[in-house]
Amino acid sequence: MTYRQRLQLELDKWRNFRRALLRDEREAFDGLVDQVFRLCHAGSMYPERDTFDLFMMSALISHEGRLKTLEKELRLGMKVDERLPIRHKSIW
Amino acid sequence: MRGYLLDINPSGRDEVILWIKCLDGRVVSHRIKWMPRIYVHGSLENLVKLGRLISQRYLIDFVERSVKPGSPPETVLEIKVPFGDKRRLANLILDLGNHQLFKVYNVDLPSMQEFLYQYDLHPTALIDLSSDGFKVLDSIEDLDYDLSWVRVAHLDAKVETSSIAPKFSDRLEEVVIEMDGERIVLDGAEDGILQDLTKTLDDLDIDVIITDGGDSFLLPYLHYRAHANGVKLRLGRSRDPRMFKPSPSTYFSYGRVYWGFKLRGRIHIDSSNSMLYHETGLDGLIEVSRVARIPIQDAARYTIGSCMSSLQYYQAYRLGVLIPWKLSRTVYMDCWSLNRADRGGLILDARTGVYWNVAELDFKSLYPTLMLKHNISGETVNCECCKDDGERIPELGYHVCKRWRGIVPRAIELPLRKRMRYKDVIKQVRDSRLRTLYKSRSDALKWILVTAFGYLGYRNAKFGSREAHLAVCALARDVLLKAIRIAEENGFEVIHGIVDSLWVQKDNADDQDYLELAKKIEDETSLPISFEGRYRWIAFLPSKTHPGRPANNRYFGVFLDGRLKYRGIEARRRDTPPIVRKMQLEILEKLAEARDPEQLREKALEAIEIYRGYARRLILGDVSIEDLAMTQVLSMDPDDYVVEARQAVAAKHLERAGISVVPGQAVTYVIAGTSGLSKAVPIQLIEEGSYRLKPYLTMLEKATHTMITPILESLKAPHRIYDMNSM
Repeated sequence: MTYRQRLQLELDKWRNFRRALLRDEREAFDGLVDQVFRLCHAGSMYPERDTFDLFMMSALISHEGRLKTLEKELRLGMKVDERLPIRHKSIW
Repeated sequence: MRGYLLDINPSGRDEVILWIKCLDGRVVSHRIKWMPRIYVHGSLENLVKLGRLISQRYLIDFVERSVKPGSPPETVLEIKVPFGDKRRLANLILDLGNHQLFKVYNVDLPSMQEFLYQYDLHPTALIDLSSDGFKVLDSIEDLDYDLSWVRVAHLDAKVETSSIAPKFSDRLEEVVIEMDGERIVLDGAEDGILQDLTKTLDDLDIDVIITDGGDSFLLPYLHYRAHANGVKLRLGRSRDPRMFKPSPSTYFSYGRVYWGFKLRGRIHIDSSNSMLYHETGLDGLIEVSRVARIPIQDAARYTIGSCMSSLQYYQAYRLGVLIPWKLSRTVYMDCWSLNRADRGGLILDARTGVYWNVAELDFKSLYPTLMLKHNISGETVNCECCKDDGERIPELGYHVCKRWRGIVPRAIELPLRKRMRYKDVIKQVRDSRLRTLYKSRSDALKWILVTAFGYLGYRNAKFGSREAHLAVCALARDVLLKAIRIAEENGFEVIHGIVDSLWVQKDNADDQDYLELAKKIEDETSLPISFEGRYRWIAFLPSKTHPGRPANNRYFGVFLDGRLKYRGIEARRRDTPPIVRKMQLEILEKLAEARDPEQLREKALEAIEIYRGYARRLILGDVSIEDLAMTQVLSMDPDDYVVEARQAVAAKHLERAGISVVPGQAVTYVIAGTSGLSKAVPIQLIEEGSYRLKPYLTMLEKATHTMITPILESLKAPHRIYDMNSM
């Protein structure tokens, strides 16, 4: 089976989970799935790994990428080992 | 005496007839005593016993041959067998040895090919014939070989029939022979037509007869009519083979082929029963016949896989390696290693959107080149002799033999090298006629190369193995990943990659920059790569079922030189009616006029007018029925469809009209109603103007969307690496 097929099979298992999500949550779920499908080329290079592990790693990478894009848009850099260079105004 | 080898055929028990077209134009037949051979392997003691037993009836000999590629020669029994007797004898020997003592070889090697291999001959070879045999004067490596002597005619007939399916009992009305743009019509009384036909073919000295449906209908039909009229009909240069006993009720079931109707001394090609002829014409067919050493009439009817096998058989034959008959090769693999190994090429999905200034780079014949370069063959991957020092395959850890050059790489070397040479020549030649000729030949070789890889993993391939197949895939993935890395290191963005092609982009890069990148990849991977061209723009489309996900191989775009390229859109599909295809291509041509993103948006809006025009014509009935015809292949018997598929409905119509339709056959129909039999009416039975409007309007609309939506959307939200609008 190809990675794409295995991924689809894994997602089928989540059918009931998805069914219980509310509309906006469900949209977020589907959006995440779509992002993961964009990284199939990498997933297919690690076939011995559990499919859900690959799903998770792909989802994280897509989030990392989108964070980078947001940073660029907002013109600020967030480094892993530094605190956010934003002064949060406490709402309390 | 010098001449060209037109064809060969077996004669009697032990003779081969060579049909030679002499340089002075005469055609002569030359007979050679020859018999095909089979080989038996077993213990020497048993072979001697067997030899004693059969030596009264067959000519036998003990010879040295390798039973496996790369293994040392052993003593085997060689038996000369009369034509057509190989299988019977082989089965008899297996039975005698209780299916344990003996193994038989070269049983399914076609006899005429064996003859060509033995004499190192090839069809259309220039030969010098003398009393002590013949000498071959040209080579299959030659790019330029003379075929001007081949006289080709197209043959067709008109049948007096009232139904849409002509029957053998229907009277022959006329026969049409077309040659060099000239049309000769034979009509009048049936017996006269048939007598004239033999004479005309001889007078015109035809070498190749091309028909449409000659194997399945025309030739058997003509012979039947001759029989019915008591006329002797001869279409070849000697008596035609008797292989047909039809009854008057036999009818022509279109597209279905019963057998090949081969002639003697003259070549018959049924264009509807020859994939090679259909794809690459007579030039491509002859090229494959020469390179693979297969008589032209056989090559015309073979699958490409069989043509490719002949190249391997030739190599094996020359090396003294025997070709096993029945393969007993079961290789077990556990689930995990299969999961790890059984993958195809790497696919890097395109990120949906419109891109400007994109270059396409393709590895030239990547798979065959890898097979050649890394010595991939069934017997070389995971061989016994090089476990420790063989070349390693990335990802899989397999090893490849370094002591024996595989049969498969030996076999593909010639077509691969020759195709590259043709491609080089095409670039230099000015004469368009020559360019087309070389192109057909190079395309024909491409088919061979494409199947070379597929056959490697095929169960019945004599010199393949699944590991070899998987090894090539792993090597190809490795190469594409390397190429992607090189492109990125040089500042290019990789947009899309499929197996052996890459789409890369860099703002302001010109042809020179892309060529330099191609050169770099070529140097570092030592594999030839070609720069297909630079797209002015290219649109990669999302998946139809999941619009948020990319789809591979669904795109359209225009090269800087104006060439259009489109894949996976409606216009490429066989079941798309011509009207939709025409509209989509017209839209693409409109879009191709754009020079910048702003213009592209304008053209996309203008394209909506094209759609309106087509929709108007459809509503007003200003379309021909052919424009609405859809073609689909039946995947099963029409009665077995659970849902009422349109192709099944159309097939039922045909069956009612007396035409049998079998799975695998294509039906062409028009949608005429919503349910029942009107859902799909075959084109042969439909009346002009009786189509259903709505489904066709929907098809036009969807096809327009495919083209226009991605352009309008991409301009609304400029492309970003992670498109936030899609969330």
